[in-house]
Amino acid sequence: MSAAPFSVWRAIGVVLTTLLGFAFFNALIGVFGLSAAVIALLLFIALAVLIFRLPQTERARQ
Amino acid sequence: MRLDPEVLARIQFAFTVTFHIIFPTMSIGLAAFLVIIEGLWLKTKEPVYLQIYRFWMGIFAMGFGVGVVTGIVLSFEFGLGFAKFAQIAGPAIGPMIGLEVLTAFFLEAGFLGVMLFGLHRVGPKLHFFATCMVALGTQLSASWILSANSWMQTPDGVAIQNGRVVVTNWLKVVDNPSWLLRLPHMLMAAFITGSFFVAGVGAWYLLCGKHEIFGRRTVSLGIGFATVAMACQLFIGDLLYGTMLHYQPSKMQAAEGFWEENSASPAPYNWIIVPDQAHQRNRFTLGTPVLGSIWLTHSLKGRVAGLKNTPRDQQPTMSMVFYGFHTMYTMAILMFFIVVVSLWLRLQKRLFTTRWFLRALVIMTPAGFIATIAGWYTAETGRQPWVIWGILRTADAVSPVPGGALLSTLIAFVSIYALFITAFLVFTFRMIRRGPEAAPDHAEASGSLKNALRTQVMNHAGAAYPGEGG
Repeated sequence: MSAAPFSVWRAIGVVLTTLLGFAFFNALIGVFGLSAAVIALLLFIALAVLIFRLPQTERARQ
Repeated sequence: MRLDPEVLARIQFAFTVTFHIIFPTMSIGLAAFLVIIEGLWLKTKEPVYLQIYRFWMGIFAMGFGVGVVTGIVLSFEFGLGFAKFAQIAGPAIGPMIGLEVLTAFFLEAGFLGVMLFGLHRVGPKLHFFATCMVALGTQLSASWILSANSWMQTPDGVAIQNGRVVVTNWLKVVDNPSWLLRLPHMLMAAFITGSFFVAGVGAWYLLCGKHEIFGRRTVSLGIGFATVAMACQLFIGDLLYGTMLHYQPSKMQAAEGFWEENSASPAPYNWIIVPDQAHQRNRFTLGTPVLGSIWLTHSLKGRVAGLKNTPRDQQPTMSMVFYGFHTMYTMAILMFFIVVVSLWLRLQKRLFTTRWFLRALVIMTPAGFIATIAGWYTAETGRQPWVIWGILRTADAVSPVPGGALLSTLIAFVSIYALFITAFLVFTFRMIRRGPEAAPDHAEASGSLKNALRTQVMNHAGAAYPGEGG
């Protein structure tokens, strides 16, 4: 990926991530039905706990 | 000028209950947080957890005290402003309020002293037990109040005899159709409120470059709890929306800002409206096309029912319900955005060093309080014109007292509550500014506000237990 502050690929990545996030939000609020909402909730919590448990060796302050 | 007793009674109750709900919400959230922190301290013996516990215990104690005092007033207001409500609904509501006192208050009163003053007087496990019991007490209290309020929203288990409510099935009164969803919705709201409060204060320390270890740990734990609670809240909120649409359709019709019996297909999602209740239309609407069908009907072309489905004399005021609901919903979306960003930053190991995110956390410190108050405004204004849904109208529940009596007591409440909130904010900001190292190991009885504000009171315990400062 280019080191430039802005690139087409990065912009596409941001748009795709946003759309993915929007779809996930809709799953969570029950748009795709109760079973999808339950799965999305469990997935979100599992992912959050996994990330929460990562060792937090901080990068240097920028 | 004619003083309308109904309007004044409603303003008075709305003012006092709005003020009151801030403190139980904070108490429930902070009590659960304190249980987790003390549990972590017992497990790891890391001094920073004891420091976090001591610091937040002080703020919890103040919030708890103000919450109790402001809550007592509400019971008296049933008599002062809504005597006919108390007369008609007393057989159902009275025992639930009484059971709240018997179970929750007695439990809290029994263990609060041990929690606040017993850190070095009882063993650590007994102290942890006391903290757990206080937290349980706050949640039991919420449970009874939510049961009583949910019964007013979705009454069940009663018959009307000689103009009064007679209980025919107590289980149905307590476990009414909306209670088991409204209770977790409120508890989650309290956990989120407490989490954002804690994370916001920690973020402020990190931005100031003070109390680095304390700040990092509180930001990490606060936003971590908020992440899980936010996801659960969106899930529960959606389930509750479906339930309320079934039992109180006019509330949800008003909350979404549609008037016509059926909206256009596909329906937009309304973000801003200027409703004209008299002409049953919106003067101005700003929304996102199609999103209303997707979110509200879970289909691409679904139509949304409007408020004209409800007879005019049974309609709530749309502007109040709509903006209450949308304030809550907008705050929820913002908080969800914050917790998702926190996961990304945590993955990048930049959670404590990204200054814009820390600033956002500080700005979002009161987000949970705003969302909770807005949610309660939706619940209460959406129930109008009923005080007990389908049974008793608010206009028929008001006490036969002159408007002047209600106005004078309203002025008295505003004056006294202004004193309460000022004292609470002054003490809280002072404690935050002094930082965790100055937090006492137990609550201090200073004897006067003037003494309590002196520096040596706050610093006394730090000198007594210097090794536990972290």
